[in-house]
Amino acid sequence: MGQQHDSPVAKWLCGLLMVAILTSGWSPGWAQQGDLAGNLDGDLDGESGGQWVRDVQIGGYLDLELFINSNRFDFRNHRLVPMLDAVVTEHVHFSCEIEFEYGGPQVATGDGEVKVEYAHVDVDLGGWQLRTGAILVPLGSTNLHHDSPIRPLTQRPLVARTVVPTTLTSAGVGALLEGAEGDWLLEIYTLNGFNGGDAIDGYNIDSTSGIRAARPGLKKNGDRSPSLCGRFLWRPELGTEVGLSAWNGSWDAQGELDLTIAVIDVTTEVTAGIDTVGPIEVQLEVARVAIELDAPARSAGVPAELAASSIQLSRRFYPAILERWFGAESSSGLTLRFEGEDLGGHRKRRSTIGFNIRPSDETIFKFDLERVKVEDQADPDATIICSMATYF
Amino acid sequence: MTLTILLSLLLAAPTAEAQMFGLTPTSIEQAISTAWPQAARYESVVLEMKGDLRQRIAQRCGSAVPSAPVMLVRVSDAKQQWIGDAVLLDEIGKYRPITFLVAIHPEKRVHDLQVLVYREHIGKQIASPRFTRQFRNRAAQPPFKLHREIRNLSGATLSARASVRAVRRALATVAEVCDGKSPIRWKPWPSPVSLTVEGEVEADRSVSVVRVRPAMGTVLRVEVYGPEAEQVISEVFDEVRRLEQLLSRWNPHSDVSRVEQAPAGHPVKVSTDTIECVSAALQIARESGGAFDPTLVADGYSQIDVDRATGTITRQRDDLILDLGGIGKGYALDRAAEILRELGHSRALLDFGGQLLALDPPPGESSWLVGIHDPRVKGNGANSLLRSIPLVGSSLATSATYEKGDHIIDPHQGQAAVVALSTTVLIPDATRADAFSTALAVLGPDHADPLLDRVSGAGALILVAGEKSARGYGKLKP
Repeated sequence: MGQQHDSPVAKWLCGLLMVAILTSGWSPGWAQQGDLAGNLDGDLDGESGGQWVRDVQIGGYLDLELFINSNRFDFRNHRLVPMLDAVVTEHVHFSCEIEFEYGGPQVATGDGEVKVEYAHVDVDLGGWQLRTGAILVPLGSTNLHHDSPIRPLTQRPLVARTVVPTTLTSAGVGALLEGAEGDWLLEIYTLNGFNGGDAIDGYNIDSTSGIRAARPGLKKNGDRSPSLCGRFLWRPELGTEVGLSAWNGSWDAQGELDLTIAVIDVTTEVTAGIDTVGPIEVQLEVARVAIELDAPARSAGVPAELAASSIQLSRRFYPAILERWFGAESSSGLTLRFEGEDLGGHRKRRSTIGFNIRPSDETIFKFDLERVKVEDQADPDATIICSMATYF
Repeated sequence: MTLTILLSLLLAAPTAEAQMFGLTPTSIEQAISTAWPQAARYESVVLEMKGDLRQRIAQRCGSAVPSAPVMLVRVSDAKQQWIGDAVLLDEIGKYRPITFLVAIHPEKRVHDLQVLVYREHIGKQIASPRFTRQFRNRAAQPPFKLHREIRNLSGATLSARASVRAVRRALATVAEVCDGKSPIRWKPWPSPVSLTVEGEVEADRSVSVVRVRPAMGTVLRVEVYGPEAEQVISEVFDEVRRLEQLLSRWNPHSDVSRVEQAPAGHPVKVSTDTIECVSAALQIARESGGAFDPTLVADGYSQIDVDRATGTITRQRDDLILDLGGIGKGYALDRAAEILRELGHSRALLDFGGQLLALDPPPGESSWLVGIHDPRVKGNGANSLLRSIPLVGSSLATSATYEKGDHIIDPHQGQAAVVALSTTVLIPDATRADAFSTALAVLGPDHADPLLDRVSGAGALILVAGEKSARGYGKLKP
């Protein structure tokens, strides 16, 4: 069933991209002062005005979670994510986030890790952008917009855990092209592929964690063709986004078996007919993974298909009492989310209702009640999840 | 409080103002022109955000105000009509400052929002017109919020939030410092037009040159188009200064003072200009039946003799004074106009303490569009005008109690004459316009038609207390 990828399109695409960069007119002439439109891509010296200094910003976000049910009472310092952002030259921009999960690997009783969430360099090529480095894979909206402070619920959706294992990062190179009015965005990358293993060393894809354990590495791709990933985002009107994302590449060590991911995500605001309630943000994300199998993989229980979907409804409120305490930018929110996941084993459904308070858009306090139902298993307790997340 | 604001308004050089935001003056002008294609003149001020000012702006916009300075640009069109204020300020997006230009109507509503510099690597779509359009016509009240009145952009929440903050803060800043109560020292920007008192001029010859100088107890502003306009304006100021030395009662050596000091019946030799000005004053006194009287005494004008042949003026009574305050500025304006025409610079507008004399219009224009202030409205917004008038080859003079209090004396009553809130007269020559506005303020609206009938092309606009709109007469009849 497997196909040999000795000279695939992806390898050539990668080479062509580099050739395109070298022949696209990149010259020292770019160092000229940009015009007003050019300034939208950043200036060299921010507020310093005229001084040639390296402009580096430090920021990030932090979250702290509390899980309570009949079996657990856990505080979790889940993520500490410092961020670095630098304007290298007028047309070269660097950005990265490094995640300390559960305090990092040195914490005695934990499974923490430190890893690069993304670290890429953007080169403005006048109308399009080259991006290279450790790239945040553009599969669905959750992976791209995963920061805890902007998400209304503590837990990321199931679709972003096992099917598109957020934070999904891979090393590679690609390009971004955006419509002049910002009404569409196209991203295309060639990247290191998934590491699903093989019959000898064991498989990293199963019906419990999906492809999470097989996430691409930043070190090597082996003797395999690079994978291709792309996303087309369409913004038909303000507040509405429709994203179509796809990934294709080999997943096994030999580079013979294909893995294809397709994700559709829609974000919109529903206002018609609910004037008394106000605008409700609806987020829909549906993902499917098709895994090509050979006989050993099939017999090892590697699933041929993974699927997950999520729909989330959110409404913001602006109580006067919050405004008195925190000012005009405060708000609260109510969120409902319904999800399903099928990893080839027991199907899982999860529903969550959450309430949150935001002193400002940078900081959020979340209070969630989550119920998970797994096919053929007794219903566990509902879990109360409280958390705080903030940018800094 | 005013002192605090004044102390907070620290001026910086134009180049430095622009560089605060990493921009050139040209790029800021381009952005303003995009918002207001008719923008022609700019004045700016840099507000240091600290102290009481910062606190009050924070209270108005309901959130903390960063200490970074804010630049305000007052924008006018070619006819000097104020069309709005542009506020340049930075707000933090996710990690980096975003530089916004918020264009605000005189009515304190958002005219336009532009993202001038976006420094983050994501979220740039907030610069798109379909996002920024949402802010148009927003005012401080009712409040607008992200996710409610303002739609968010997925993946750009913090940048969208920064946009809301920037607009709120711009509205609050304009409301706080431009409400007419807080004097602002606007500075010409970048330098096409220079407005300085006794100052030197930096002028772009493609537009007009403006100079302002104190004269005759008030301020004379002269705007002239054409090459070497600065030199021509300088000659105008010299002439006005010369006339002031002749006509001022406060100069003990002036012609007027010498006439006053001489015994009754003793002719005093004076200059031709004094003869001309006093003759005009006496003529208008006769035409107005003494409502305008340079002697400030009932029928005193009839006891001043002017002898053109000998160039002398004689008082017939010792108690008569000669006060040309109600006509001297108008006479000086007419003399200034003569000089401008002689020197070939007839595209000019002169403003002498509120009395206007318009010569030929600016290049490409049919007139100078000027406004008559409504004394019942505070501030300088578009709704503070009684009427806008296209002015060419005419003078517009206003006598009103709101500017100087009850300064108009009825010679017959010997006390302040309060008949109308505001009396504006339109007459081709400035000398008559000046005197007629005083006469009509004393006589009241019932005498407007008979008085104005004496002068070709004359008109008047009189606002009477208690009436909703001003009455128009002659050329200013609705």
